[in-house]
Amino acid sequence: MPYDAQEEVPDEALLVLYANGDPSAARILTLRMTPRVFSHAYRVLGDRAEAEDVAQEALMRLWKIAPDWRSGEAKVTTWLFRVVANLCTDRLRKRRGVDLDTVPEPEDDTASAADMMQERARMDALQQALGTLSDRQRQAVVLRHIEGLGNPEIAEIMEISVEAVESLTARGKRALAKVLAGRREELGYSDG
Amino acid sequence: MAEKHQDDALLDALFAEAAGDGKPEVSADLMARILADAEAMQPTAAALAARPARQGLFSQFMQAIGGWPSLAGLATATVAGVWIGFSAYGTIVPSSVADLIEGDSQTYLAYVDASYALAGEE
Repeated sequence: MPYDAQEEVPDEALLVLYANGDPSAARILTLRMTPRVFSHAYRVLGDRAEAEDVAQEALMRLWKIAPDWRSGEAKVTTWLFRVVANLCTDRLRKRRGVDLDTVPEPEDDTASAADMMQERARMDALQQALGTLSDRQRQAVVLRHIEGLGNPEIAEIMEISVEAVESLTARGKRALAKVLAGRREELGYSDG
Repeated sequence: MAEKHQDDALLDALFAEAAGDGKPEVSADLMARILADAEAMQPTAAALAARPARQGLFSQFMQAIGGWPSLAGLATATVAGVWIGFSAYGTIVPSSVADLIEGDSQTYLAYVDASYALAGEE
């Protein structure tokens, strides 16, 4: 497959190509799906190693189902996000059983440039704030505001109604604003 | 109110950053692990060839009636039936039955049912 045509091929067509043994489809799907899956798992779990395991497991399930994929039933990304959401929920439940402190410490690498530190500080602050939400609120907020998905798709992923998604994201956003309210200046948003 | 706007602006800016430059980077190791899984799980040409082809409804129907020769016989019989229906109308079909079908004259079922005549002969 020519390199410049890769961007235009829909996910589902790639999955069919993958199931038919096309080696470039395996590579393109991996490059396309891994960042989305990993980023969502990381925002929900707040832990790199766990997010990596979830991403690998979710994609493993995609490879397994590829030969039997029923076209037109669900979008590949919707199906994949649902798998990630369920894997994250399982991990969060297990984690609660072991350790009550569900908010992992943000990574603390020392960055050389000041703006990189600022960006890291902002992302860590967001991650900490996300950690204060309930699991469902966090999933919904990340899918809506960071992944940029629409409410009907989130409803399909989380297997709840669109109204429930609206309620989760609204309450989640209010709770985040409350947690972050006092940190505006510290995070470099004093002007806004 | 102004504070609420500021809070929303802060959140929106954080979300935008998290979706853009602030997206957590995927390590090369994870990418390699996932690609290795994809390649290991991918159906090979040999496995695909061994997989029985899915049969459509039409091919299942053809198999049930015995293939193309049977279909030709079926078609001949159908055409013959239609031809007989049109050409023999009024000659082969008894007039009383034809009247019954056309319905433009009064016809009683007794005309068609000849069993009463046989009953009389006994």
